[in-house]
Amino acid sequence: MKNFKMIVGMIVVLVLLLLGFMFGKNSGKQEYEITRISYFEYFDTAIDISLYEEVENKDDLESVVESRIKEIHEMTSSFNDYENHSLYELNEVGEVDNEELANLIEYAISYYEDYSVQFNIALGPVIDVWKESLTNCREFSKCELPSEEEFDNIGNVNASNITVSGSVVKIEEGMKVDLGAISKGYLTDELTKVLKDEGYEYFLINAGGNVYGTTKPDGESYSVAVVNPVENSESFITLNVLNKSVVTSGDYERYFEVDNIRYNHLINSETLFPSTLHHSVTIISDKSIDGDILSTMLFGLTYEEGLEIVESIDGVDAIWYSTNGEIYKSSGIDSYEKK
Amino acid sequence: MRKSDVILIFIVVVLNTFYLFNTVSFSDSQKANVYYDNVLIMELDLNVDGVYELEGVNGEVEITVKDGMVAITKETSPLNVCSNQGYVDVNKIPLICLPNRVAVEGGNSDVDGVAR
Repeated sequence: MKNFKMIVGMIVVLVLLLLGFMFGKNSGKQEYEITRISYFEYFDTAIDISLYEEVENKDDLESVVESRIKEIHEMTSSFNDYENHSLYELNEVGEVDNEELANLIEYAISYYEDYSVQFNIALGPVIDVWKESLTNCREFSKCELPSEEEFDNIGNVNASNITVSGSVVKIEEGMKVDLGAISKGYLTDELTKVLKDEGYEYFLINAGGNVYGTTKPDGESYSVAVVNPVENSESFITLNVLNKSVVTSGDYERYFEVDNIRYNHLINSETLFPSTLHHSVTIISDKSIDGDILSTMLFGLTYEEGLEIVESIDGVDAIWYSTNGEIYKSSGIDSYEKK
Repeated sequence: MRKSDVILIFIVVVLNTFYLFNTVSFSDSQKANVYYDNVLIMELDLNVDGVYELEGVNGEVEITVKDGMVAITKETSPLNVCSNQGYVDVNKIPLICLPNRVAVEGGNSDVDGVAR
């Protein structure tokens, strides 16, 4: 009888221990039901949306979101004529009447004029030259730098010579506008609006590396890892973000090499050659388009020049992984960094 | 049964429980999920080295598990971004092969998104 009481007592202790473990295990990481929707046909990348809440009609939501993605894809494409007053039309005939496109171009030019020429949407002809070299190297193993003649034929690359008047945009002869550096950021911001209009509050968008997170249902932040540009099988920092965008511009995915020198796709607006000061620049901001613009701009500037710009804009922070091996952070990064 | 026997049995049971619970707790981190077009198509045991093949949009995609790490060892794409990543701890950073629509993510990843 005495032993029986002891055994019962021990079983009770064991059950309590087990319960403790179970609750202990669950308190470490909250589990959520996540609905994911993805698109692969646009912007030459994957667009992935994770909704941390119930989605009643996934097909309807997918359709609404895709319709907006398609609109922006067609509007900002410089490769295909979608006959809807797109960027292609502007580059082909020198003029386009499209209010949304005009607003987007005007916004991009304001950064060029207010902060630095290192964010320049008029670099289209230069980008084409470097893209051709990249393609020749990657697809045909013909790895050569663009010739001097190719640069001699480049026309006007001054973004201030793009004129925006109401819904009409005009460019001078020989100019070509490229919105590749901001289209995914703009898209991310627009998809955020679409999802909120559809009644969703808790989601994370990843448009080809442009990440935007609202909040999780319990108010928790999203963890966003930033790829290490030197050893890209790992991340070098993880950020906790709430209603923020994280965007990185880096030299480690789109590049080619000639004589062991790496030429990336981020072109310095003054030298017309790829910038080599940093391996990557990451921007945390409220809007993804600002992250796109500033990460591209800061990639072409020294850390000191970039820091001055970042510290002058509210709600913006930056991380530089420079080619000198140093990692620099603006003053607010500490509040986002996951320790 | 003597009192000391009962205490011994109790200790053994508690230790076994500890062991079992630890095993269960870590099982998610020893697993990787392979998605094609956002649909889970395969689960990989990270404890076992192996080579797995699947058909991507651009042809064969080969996934290799070695020492708990995962690499895309064969794929066809313009920039070969995912195969250039080499062996990756997928619980820290997922492998994403955009042109082939293939993603490999850790079963216990504490990362919600990756900026690149």
